Amino acid sequence: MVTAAHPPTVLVTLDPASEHDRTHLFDIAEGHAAMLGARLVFLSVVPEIYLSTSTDPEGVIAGMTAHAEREQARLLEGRWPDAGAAPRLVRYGPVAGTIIEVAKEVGAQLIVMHARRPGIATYALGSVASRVANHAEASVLVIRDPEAAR
Amino acid sequence: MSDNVTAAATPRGLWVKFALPSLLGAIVFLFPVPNGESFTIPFGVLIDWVNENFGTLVSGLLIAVTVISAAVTVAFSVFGLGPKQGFLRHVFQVSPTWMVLRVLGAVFCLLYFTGTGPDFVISDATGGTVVGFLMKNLLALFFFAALALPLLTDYGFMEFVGAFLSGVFKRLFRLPGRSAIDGLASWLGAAPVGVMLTVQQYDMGVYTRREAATVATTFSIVSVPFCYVIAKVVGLEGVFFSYYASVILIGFVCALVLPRIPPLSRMPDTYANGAVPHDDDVVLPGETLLRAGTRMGLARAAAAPGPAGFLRNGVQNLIGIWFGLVPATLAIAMIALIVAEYTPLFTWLSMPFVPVLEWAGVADAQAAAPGLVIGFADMYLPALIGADIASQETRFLIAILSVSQLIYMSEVGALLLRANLGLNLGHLAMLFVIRTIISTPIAIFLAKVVVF
Repeated sequence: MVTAAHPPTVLVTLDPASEHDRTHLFDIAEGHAAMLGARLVFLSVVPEIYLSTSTDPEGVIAGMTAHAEREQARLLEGRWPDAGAAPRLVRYGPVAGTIIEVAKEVGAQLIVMHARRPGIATYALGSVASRVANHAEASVLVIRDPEAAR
Repeated sequence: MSDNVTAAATPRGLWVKFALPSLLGAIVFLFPVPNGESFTIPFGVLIDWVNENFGTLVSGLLIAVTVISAAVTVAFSVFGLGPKQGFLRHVFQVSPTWMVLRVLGAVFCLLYFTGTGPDFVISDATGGTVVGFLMKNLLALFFFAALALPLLTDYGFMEFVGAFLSGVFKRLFRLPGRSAIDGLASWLGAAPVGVMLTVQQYDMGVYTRREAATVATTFSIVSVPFCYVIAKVVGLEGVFFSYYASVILIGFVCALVLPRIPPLSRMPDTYANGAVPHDDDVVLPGETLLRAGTRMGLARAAAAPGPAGFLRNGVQNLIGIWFGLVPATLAIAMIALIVAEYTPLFTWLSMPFVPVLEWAGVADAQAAAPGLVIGFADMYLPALIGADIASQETRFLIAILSVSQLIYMSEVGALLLRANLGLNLGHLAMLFVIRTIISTPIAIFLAKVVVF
């Protein structure tokens, strides 16, 4: 929903832990943002980790979040060296649920997310992309890399 | 206080803030105290005292923790109740998998304590080991560790000791001296804390990718308090110091070998993208080790919280661990033991290792073999599966493997996969296998010749 508080928005999700070429994802996100006259907002979610021997889980989560912020900045600055002001978010929690919530929070009309080659487990459990596509209020565009689709 | 302020100009209050908590922490977690014919640590004495004198209270607390955790997690995660940001949300808003584990944790706990569950839940080998023993010990461990471990990790002790070890790490392991502090963070604090420190140093340009991967997969050892619980699970707390010395020795041998062979030796010596290579500044030119340790220790103490912050952080961590971690650990350990006791799955998986262990003269090789592979999933599992083995040498081997295999996917492995150090699942599996191959014969030798 577009309001004064929420300008037209395309939410782009990035997993900084995965190292692959995001040119295709960024091209498509940028194209859709231009078409909708929307801003791009970038989101990375640090997934829950079972910290079975940590007596300072909040400290470890803070460390993981800081690392994700640095990696996210590195990815974005590689593509848009002067895009320092583009809204960037890093959150911790269940990945699909957090993407859906942040999309609501920023008033996204479109969520653009990347999907890698599906593993066997996704047939039983479903992927993050399928959960977001099923439950988000915004439209969801899932980008498959040309190589992964082959 | 900045890192370059001289010790001479340091106010007396900061010296006290550095020395007093560090000394207290060292006494609680590292100081040997007599325990029958052997030695233990005061931390172990505290855990035993709580379980011996307040057993019923701890059982009640365990029920309360698991039931409240399950109820609040369902309320937050299914019905969207609770705050939208912050600590409570971190703890209680989780994915469906974690929610199911917490609910299962509460169910297993209730079934065990009321004695109404089926045999596979309440038998001594499953519920008795996990709920009746491990979780009660972990509840007490987390209580004391969450409140007292920061004394050892947050007030400069590991920086002080790290300075003295930095030269050894440089010469023997071909690593920057800073890695001594990361290693100590794992040893004294927790493996994930050590991993995150290493990742931070990599991001800052202190380590190359090879160095960071080496530190994280070689020195992220299980911390002292958890080693004590593992020793207790397999009934070897009476030889805790021999056990822990063996763990250190094996870790040392692995640290000598692993950086020199693939996959670690083949990792690129490149810095993180965008990071400016940063000099190793543990010991500055012309500085003695004592001065370097004091400088870093004081700087760490200056940044550490005062008594109120210390208490607040400790209580917050305790709530996070008790309600977030304990129920899921209970469920995972129960499921693993039910599978181990009531299905042949682990027997099949570990079949190739039985002849090897028999050849090495390991008693109860059939029962010990699953311990060689299951540690890749979680650190507690080998010890839980091996707790009932009759031979103490074999239990010693299993307890050593529990903490020496180091790459368990439930925690350290998962963090490493997210750390952008160039380590993939194949690398981690290979490192796990190499560590197991190195650790097993040494542990067998120590068990047969030195310890017993």
